[in-house]
Amino acid sequence: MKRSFTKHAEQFSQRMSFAVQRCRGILLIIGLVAAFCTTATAQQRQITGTVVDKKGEPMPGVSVLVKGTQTGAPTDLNGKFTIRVPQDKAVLVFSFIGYLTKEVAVGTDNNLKITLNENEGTALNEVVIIGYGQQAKKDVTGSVGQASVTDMQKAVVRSFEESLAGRVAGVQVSSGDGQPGDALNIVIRGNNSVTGNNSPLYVIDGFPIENPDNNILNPNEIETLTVLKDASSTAIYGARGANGVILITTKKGKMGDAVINYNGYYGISSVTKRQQLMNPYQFVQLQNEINPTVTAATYFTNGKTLDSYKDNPGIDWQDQVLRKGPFSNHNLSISGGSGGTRYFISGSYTNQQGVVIASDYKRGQGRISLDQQVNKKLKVGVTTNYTNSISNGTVPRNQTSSIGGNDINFNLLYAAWSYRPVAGSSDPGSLLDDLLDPDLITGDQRINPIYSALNEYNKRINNVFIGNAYAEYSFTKNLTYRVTAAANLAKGRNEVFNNTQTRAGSPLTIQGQANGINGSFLNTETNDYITENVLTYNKAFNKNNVLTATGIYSIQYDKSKANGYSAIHVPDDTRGLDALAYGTITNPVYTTSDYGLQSFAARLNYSWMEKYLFTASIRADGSSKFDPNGPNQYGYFPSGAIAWRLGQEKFIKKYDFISNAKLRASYGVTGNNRIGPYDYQSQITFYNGSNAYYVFNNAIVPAYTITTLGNRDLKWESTGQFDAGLDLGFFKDRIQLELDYYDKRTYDLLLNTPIPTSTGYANITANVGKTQNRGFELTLNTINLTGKGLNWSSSFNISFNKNKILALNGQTDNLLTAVGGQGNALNNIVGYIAKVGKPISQMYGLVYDGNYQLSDFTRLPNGTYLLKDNVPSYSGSNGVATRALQQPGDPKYKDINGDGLVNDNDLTVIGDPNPIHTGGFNNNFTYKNFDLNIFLQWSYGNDIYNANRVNLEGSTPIGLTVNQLATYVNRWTPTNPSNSYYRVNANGTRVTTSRVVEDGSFMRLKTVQLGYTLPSKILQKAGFKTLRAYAAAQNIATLTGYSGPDPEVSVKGYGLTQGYDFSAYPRAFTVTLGLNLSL
Amino acid sequence: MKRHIINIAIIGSLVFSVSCKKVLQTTPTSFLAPANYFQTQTQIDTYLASVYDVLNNDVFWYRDQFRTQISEGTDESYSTNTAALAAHYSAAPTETSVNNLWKAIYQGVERANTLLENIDKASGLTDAYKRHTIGECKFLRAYYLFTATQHFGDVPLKITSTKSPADGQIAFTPSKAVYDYVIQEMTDAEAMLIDQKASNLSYTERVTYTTVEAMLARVCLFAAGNPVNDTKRYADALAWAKKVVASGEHRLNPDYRQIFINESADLYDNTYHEVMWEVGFYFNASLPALREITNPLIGVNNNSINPYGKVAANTRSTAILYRAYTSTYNPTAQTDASPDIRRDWCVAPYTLTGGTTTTNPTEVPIAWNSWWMRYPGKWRRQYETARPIDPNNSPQNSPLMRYSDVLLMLAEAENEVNGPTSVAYDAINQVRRRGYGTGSRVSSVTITNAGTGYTTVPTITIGASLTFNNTLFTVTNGATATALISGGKITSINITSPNAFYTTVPTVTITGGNGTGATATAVLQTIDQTAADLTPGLTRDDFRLAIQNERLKELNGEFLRRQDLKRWGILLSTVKSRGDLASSGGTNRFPNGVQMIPPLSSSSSNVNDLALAIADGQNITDRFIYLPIPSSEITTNAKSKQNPGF
Repeated sequence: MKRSFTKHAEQFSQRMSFAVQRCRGILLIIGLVAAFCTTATAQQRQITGTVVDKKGEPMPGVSVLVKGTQTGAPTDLNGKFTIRVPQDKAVLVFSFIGYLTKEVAVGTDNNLKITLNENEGTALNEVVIIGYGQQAKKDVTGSVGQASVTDMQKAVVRSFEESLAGRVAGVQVSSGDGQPGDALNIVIRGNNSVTGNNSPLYVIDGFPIENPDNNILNPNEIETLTVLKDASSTAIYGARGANGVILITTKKGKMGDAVINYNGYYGISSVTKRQQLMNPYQFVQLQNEINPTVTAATYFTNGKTLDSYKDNPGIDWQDQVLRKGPFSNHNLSISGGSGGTRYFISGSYTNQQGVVIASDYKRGQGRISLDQQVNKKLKVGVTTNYTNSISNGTVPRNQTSSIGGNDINFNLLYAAWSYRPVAGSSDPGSLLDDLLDPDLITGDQRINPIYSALNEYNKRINNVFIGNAYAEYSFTKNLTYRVTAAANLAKGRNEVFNNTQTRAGSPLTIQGQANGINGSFLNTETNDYITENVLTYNKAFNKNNVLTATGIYSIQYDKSKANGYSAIHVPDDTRGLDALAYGTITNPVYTTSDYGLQSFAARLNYSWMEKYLFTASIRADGSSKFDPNGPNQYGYFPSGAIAWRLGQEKFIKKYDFISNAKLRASYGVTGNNRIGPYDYQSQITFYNGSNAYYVFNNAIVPAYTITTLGNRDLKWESTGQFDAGLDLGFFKDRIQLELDYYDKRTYDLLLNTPIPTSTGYANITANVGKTQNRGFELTLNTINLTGKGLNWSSSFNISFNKNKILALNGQTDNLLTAVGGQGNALNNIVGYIAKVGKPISQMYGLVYDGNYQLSDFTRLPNGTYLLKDNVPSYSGSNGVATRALQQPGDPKYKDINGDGLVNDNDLTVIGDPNPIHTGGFNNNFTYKNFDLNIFLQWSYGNDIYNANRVNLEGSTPIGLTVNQLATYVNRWTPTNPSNSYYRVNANGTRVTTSRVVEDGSFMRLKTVQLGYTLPSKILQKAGFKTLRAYAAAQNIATLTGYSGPDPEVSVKGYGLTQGYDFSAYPRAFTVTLGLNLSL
Repeated sequence: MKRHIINIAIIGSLVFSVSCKKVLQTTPTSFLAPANYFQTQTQIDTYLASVYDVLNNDVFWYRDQFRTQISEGTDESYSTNTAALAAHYSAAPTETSVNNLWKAIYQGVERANTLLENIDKASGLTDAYKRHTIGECKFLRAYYLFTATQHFGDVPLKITSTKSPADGQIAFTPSKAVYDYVIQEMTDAEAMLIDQKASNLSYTERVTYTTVEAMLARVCLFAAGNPVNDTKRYADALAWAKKVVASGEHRLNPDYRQIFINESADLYDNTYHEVMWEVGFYFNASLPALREITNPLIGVNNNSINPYGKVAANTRSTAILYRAYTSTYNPTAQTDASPDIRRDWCVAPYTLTGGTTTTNPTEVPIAWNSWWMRYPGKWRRQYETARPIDPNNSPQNSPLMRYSDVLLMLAEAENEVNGPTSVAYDAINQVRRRGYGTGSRVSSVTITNAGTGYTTVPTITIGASLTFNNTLFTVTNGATATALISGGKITSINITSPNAFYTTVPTVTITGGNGTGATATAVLQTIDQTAADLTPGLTRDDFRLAIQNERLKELNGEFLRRQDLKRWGILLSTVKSRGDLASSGGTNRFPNGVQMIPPLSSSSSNVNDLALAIADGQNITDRFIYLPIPSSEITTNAKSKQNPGF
């Protein structure tokens, strides 16, 4: 166990005062800092020296400390230091971020030359942050992944999540699409929960947060990012550890002179891959096929023929709604430390203009961190962070308007793709300016997508304040007590306004007529408080017996509020939301809820002979989410791990090329409590909307009823996880290999499970079902080239995870899910299945078997076609109710059960959105003052349901004036018996079908950054410490067979309906130029 | 120093420890838990409203899905919606509308169970209030269970509330036992509601004791009929129907049309109380959140937004229904007028076209001899009074029990128990006579001046016998006639609908046709109601046929037909026959050789309609006596069992 830095501070010489807002607890701690600061002194003999890196460059700002004292000094610009040490054998500790800490015994030499190595490669002594503590990497018994934060910071992204994908084996990071400001989906070792939340627990500077807005952190301020994967490392987080834990620590001040750092970049985002749509000629040809009469009257007037459209470029609606968007980021920090005080102050501003017009993301953020060594025994500190972020713009994957949703025409990109490229009799130019296409057929009310994007006001504002204060007291050198108090105060606000130029508010549309100008706002507030008490006992009884014991007591309390309302028939178009109160107010929301958690935990780490390592922990969590009068309010989560450092054994030691070898095994049980705060109780509500009244005598009487059935037997969802790992290092750790196998079984799933509707309810939250995730992870870190010239190091990881449902509710072996928001025709059509023995999410539908061809029919004397008796016809949901309607060119589906009818009984699994493996490959090159980072990320073996093709390759019916994908040119006609694209206005297209299931495997060149650091000699003259200029790019190139715009897509989330692509916000390709500067 | 720190730590921890009990015992703030509810009369009222609320709940019941999918596909109408698989006898257990019906029914049952189990917790209720509430609740639960067994056969008899997931594992009760339970519960409810009378209420959404009696008559007929065949229940049905008649609470409204105009206009008939119980829908434009409305899908198609309100018609009436009414087929005059005013009300003789947000659409008469492509006309949105009209939603109420139904049930039960007695004849004839109306009808129009210059057929307007006024416009309801022209002159004016209730001779106005000078006068004829009477001296079987036919004419469009056909055991044959008639027409012919029921003629615009009208007959099999037990139940209730054939 590495000693905490409590003893590493020197004299208190300086007091800093900060304007700290809001949190009284923090002010109290600052008071403590001021009140208890004392002075300590010690000096005997003066030592000087120089610290250089392995290239011999002097290193400024390195912290130099006399071990076991608070005496310390930083190195100056030339890497030189002067320090006083006791006469007797002193040890100096040199540390610098990103470098291995080095301890040097002071001999008689008064002038030292110290070389510090970067902490890549040989890293056994590297400190790893674990839950409620830290450990030397060699002593870790569990499966703990560390992301290279320096590499992640090479990516030009908004939040750390975006650069986490592919960095750590077993951590799958996915984004639904490219919407600026959206949270990403992070899953560690596969989905445990079927209907619950699978995101990990985040612990930011010790503060556990279940659903943080990760945008609140500036990626530049992250110091370490550790992923706890196996049960022995997560069990200390008990009821919240089952999905894995992501530990984040933020940067703190270092001893030494003030360092001012600036990092800024500016670049451009753009969309590289677009949909290929029909050109005007192809479009008019299609119109003619659908309805020659209307087409003649619309397009073939004034002597125009089909050929007249050949040279017409038409309107490219993607050009109209997509753009190049600037992306800039500025980050300024000042940090340092002297005496017993360390400080870090920073601020940043990010402005990301979206690639869809009128969409953007802006963030302003500030952080202050202050640590004070009060005396030998007491250390206090406080960190505050405040972030304000604003996302603007319509969300193409959602039918954003709350008014009259469930209509795909509200999906912005679908609207742009389907908007016709050319007008006929109406002035071709005016389409761009018309709010509503003049030739739309009755019922089709697509609004010009430009107007939609520009006028649908949709703003999402988040303000988050985190205050985190601690005090740490060392009773003896073995026993430390740490108390933390923290608050996370988040306020969000969503604003929507639809003026007369939007579909929802225009007097030309049904929705607009019904509701007029309308808007809404919703305020949300979540206040989360925690206090934690940690007692750590650490004793080396002798060289062979080292014990660390940790005891924890913690209370967390969370209170949430939401309020707001919608208004329709707002009289005034010009004042936006300010006029909302003058409309007719609907759907008022005022809700509050709270929950609490009380926990006790203990952990024991024991190291014997430096070869055999043991860890055992247990945590008890009591939660208000479970019945206080029942037996399930408290859950208990034990774990144990052993590790054998066989590299220390003689029989391995004799092989020189093996520098490290460790075998690990662990088992533990962790929990998941992500359910509503009161789910154990039945709820009587008078819900809003039009369904909660009954009419007597032409007057309404509110109807109150139980809307949610409670379940008093609810308890934790539990996950038992076995993990076995092997760590190997070769050639002085130039090659490091980590292998892990795990088997996770989750039982008592908190499943929002369907119950017989004869109970009067459709579902209940209950502990039913079991899932399993088994997998294999490999991480390989290598230093490929090293020396004076070209240096190359790389990091490769690959993860295989197999997800399987072992049991559902006992009555059924599957759970079917319809994908909502596909429009009325498809809304209730089942698209996904969760089936016992198979992964949680699989695509489920009919197998497309080409089209009905003329040979399948008998031609009747009147010229019509009648399906031959031996050919099955389609009669499923939304189907043709009679064989007589089945016509040549209609899609044909496999009659799996052979009953001559294609219906719901022929549904089968048609795709699997779960990848077989995912991974990343990171490379760092340095040559002289140049550095280059190249990062590749991939996903292999997953399917995507390309729903864009359902609606844009012969949707049913293809309305006139609706454009289609260019591929649909090859549609079925009597002379083109296609088996890939059915005829216009075919029957039986409103199904989930294998036709649009595509392989979503991809390999992506995700990040490239090329930097040049100016030589320090030049810089010193100019007064800089470092100056580095760089060019960086993100999402550069993608290798995939997927026909849609982007294979990294899942617009319906990552639960039961994974890998669904419809009207996704395009992922941006970003190129930036940036500067790192420190003074 | 050290002591300070320890003290602070201890105090800090203590503060949190003290509050930890509270931290773990949170109380919900934004909803009520059942333990804290059911305390006051207001809370009981609001919960009872939720028991009723199921009737108009969302898309489930008397909103669109039940109306246009579950209850359709008979000789009275056919669905033109390909997706309405239940209406086309193609529904699988996964069918949404079937799942939703089941879910809605049992939501009602559960809400009633919950209220019945908790009502004793309330304080300050009068005995009568409590008795009525329990009575209504027991009745509604029984009515829901009746609906369940009617449509699904053996069903869970779920009469206690759900308290844990295990309560969902419930075995199905045989249909007969469900009927026995329903009859017992309704009998109890009748006694509890004996002082809750229609004559004491000014509205019709609440259950009264005569409603319970009438519903008991219906339930008993179903128990006695196919497939339960508990024939002793005919006598019970007779007794209950007689009780309703004897109560004197209800009479037939002399004008059949007024019943449905009242439903549209949100009016209650407090004179005759013919509508005994109805589903309430409500609309108020200024309170959009507070509305209980239905999607208008049954009626005359109306595409554009105009004061009539939109109707996305999914249902067409059949030629069978049209021809069920007495009429005078006259190919020379090109008329087929019926003395029964129900026909041209139930089967709209016009389509709608045009109209703007401020002007009404035009009623375009349908060709006199086109009978398959007409829309149901019972529900006419132009009579709605809620303004501004909501284009896509209608506040029209929907009757659940009418007095004419009681009379027909009385006649039917009497026939089954005692044969076609005078009691049976008297009951059916009351209904038939009302169909003819009272006063005078327009028997013919005499041309007094044939005019000149008519190049197209002019429009003949005959003054109204009934005027319905609302704030926006006046709708008149007169007899109708068409003209024939020859050589610029009007050669004849022929009555297409004679109407009724005339007391004075109406004016005849001739407009359009490019001509001038034509005039005509109407000739009135006193209505002889006995002409409506059923042929005397029928056998029991023939009388039963007459009842079946009369129920078609009287109650079509009220979501009863499919279940009626089932209990008579003729659902299959009737639907098959309808399919055959749509494809080939019938064998009976008019004297001029024209088929009385022609095939549904096919054109490019209605190719689907034809196919669907035929398909139902091809699709239906024995298993469709019941709907499939929904997959949502089968996959979650281990004790459930699927109906045969699904």
